[in-house]
Amino acid sequence: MKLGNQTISSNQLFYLMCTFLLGSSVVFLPGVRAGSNAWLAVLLGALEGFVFLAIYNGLVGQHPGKNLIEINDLVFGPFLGKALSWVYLIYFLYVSAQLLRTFAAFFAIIMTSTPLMVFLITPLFVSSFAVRSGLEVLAKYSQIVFTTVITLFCFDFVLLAKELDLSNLLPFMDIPISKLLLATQSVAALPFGEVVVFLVLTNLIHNPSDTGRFMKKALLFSSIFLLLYTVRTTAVLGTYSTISTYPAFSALRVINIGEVFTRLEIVLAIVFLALGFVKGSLFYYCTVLGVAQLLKMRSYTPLVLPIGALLLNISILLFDEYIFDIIDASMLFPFYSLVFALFLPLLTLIVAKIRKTGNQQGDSANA
Amino acid sequence: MFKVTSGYKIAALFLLILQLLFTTGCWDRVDLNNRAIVVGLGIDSSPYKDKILVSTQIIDPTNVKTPQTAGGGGAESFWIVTSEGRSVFEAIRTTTHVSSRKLFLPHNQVIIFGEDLAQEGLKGHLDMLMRDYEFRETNWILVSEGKAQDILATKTRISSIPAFFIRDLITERIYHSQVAAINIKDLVLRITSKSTAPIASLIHVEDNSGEKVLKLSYTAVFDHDLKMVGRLNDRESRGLLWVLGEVKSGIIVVTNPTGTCNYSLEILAAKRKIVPEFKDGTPTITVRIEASSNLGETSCSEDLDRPEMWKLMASLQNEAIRGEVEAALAKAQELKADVFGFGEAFHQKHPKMWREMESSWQEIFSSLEVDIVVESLVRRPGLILSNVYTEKGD
Repeated sequence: MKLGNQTISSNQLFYLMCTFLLGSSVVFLPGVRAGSNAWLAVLLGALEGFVFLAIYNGLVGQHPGKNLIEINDLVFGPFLGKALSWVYLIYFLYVSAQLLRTFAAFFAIIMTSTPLMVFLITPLFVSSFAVRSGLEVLAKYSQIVFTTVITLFCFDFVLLAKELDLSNLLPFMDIPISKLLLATQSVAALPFGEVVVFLVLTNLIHNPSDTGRFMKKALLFSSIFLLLYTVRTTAVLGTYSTISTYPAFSALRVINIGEVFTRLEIVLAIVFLALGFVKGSLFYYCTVLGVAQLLKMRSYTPLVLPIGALLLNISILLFDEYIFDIIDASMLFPFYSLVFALFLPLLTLIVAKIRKTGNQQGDSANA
Repeated sequence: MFKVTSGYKIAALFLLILQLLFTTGCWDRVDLNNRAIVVGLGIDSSPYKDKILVSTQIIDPTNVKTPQTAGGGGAESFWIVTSEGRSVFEAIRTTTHVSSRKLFLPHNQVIIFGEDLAQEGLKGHLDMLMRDYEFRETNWILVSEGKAQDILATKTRISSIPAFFIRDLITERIYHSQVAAINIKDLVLRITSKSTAPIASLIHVEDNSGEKVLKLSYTAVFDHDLKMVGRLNDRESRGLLWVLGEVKSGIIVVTNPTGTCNYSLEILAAKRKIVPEFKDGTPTITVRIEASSNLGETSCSEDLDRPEMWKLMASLQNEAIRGEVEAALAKAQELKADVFGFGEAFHQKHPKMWREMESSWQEIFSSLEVDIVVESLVRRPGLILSNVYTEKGD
């Protein structure tokens, strides 16, 4: 049973995944805790991301055209499989609530007297509209946004050329290895580990045999982009990036070309708005779709608003002080997200291999 | 059926357009006529010990001179408001007691600290300048001789707003390259590097043929806690800029070997390379400077037709540049302040050795051996080759 009323092409999957991966990383510099070695953390984190992806591709390859919930059912049986699916869905709901809150907090820094509710409800409302309209709408939107963002990035790069100081990337490897590993893990978890949510969409892709290839391509492309982005921001800001709340945002504040091209950070705020929207909506969409599938509903649309309301409430209840968001994002999330990004999919893959569920030929074609 | 739908569509569209009239802004919007645009900030010590004085230079829109009203004289186009507080933020907010509009800081250009406060230490007064989103990382930081308030209140020519005038003094400093300037971002980099000493430009009021003018001259040197420990004069400041690679232009005057006349050389371009090394275990720095210049003026009547003369000028120039760098180095070593970032060079190239040196870097720096290698060229003569008094040998 296919609940999503639309399917997307592999090419659209590529754009959707790229946009998704850039999502929140564009304002929070990935790997910033590693200081001048942030680029190294991004590189290692991306490699870890490829390991995650290999597991997901293994699962999809073995069960082509099926999504996470169907795979869970097949591998663990109807009862345990469904329980596991519910756990995944709660996690997706939690992540999207967190993302929404982070998103709102970013705008609240500048607009101090506007109630946080405004920044929570407005994007959520638009997001629920997008979710209701379906996956194809999101995919098409991400195609437009992605090309725009890449163009803007090139533009920023040229404007920042004057400020680049590559000696800011030195010294190489002078931080304790534990600090580097923590930074690496946070990069692996924050954009790359979240790719697990795409497993809910695998039954909505036109050509299931291409899925793995295009996901690899998207991961490669976005990790190169993030690497360049990190190198650029570190080269501009140096140690300033370690005290800045939003390093990439600070980097653009430095641009001053003849008192004409200044105050360009607003561009990044808009880019964040556009990219974060895709990421948040995708998590939201997958949660709604998954719940509808588990409840054996004929259509997921009645669930959009109730789950949206739930999402709003969770994001309000998450924390009162911003510091807990930072602690969560930098110290806790990198580890507990591993359960969903690595351990559960790996367990599923191992059990699937042992029980020989699904299509064994597809496995060898995609591995 | 179709008609009803399109009717609804038109009604919906109309409602959507109508709502644009009522949802024009958000809670935080402030209209331009409610903003007091701050362009300069001066921070001084106060007679009360735990307080500081913050002077803000606000553009007074009622007196901004347009071409039509210029020449009328009368009031200034800026307004200086001074208020007191225990922190910069408190003092800025206290200003609202006397200003009918709330201060608006994103257009601030310069932040001037009074000398008294700079000698006490600026450590406690910087945080807001980075934390508040209204300040920009590109704001210039200066230290004034005397009170910062007086600097902001000095009338300026050409540009009627002193803060813009000071900003332009800083951007045009490249034509003499004798003052180092620093913005908030670079100041933070110097503070976070732990070994590099923070610097800032100095500004003072000078009497220039009966008129009070602002003069940007000398560079203030701070220790790690941002206490001003000394200053570099114009020559030493250029010595510093050679090492930082920030010399863009400027005039080098060299005297010919007999000491009777001189050559003024206009710097065209300069590059530098800092190489940190260990020679028999002791850290040494090699600074390589490459510069080129044009002959801008000479009072010598030697025949410049001969290549040797140009080699001579270049070698005199080498010595002059080396002299400037040595002067800066001597002063910095005396102050035990690593203004050049030599420590950071070791940190970047030899991170392992640096860990042992870090704690005693001030001592190491004060007796650091620095090799200065200068290579320079004098390229072009301008519109005449030899001086008009030159007697041709043939």
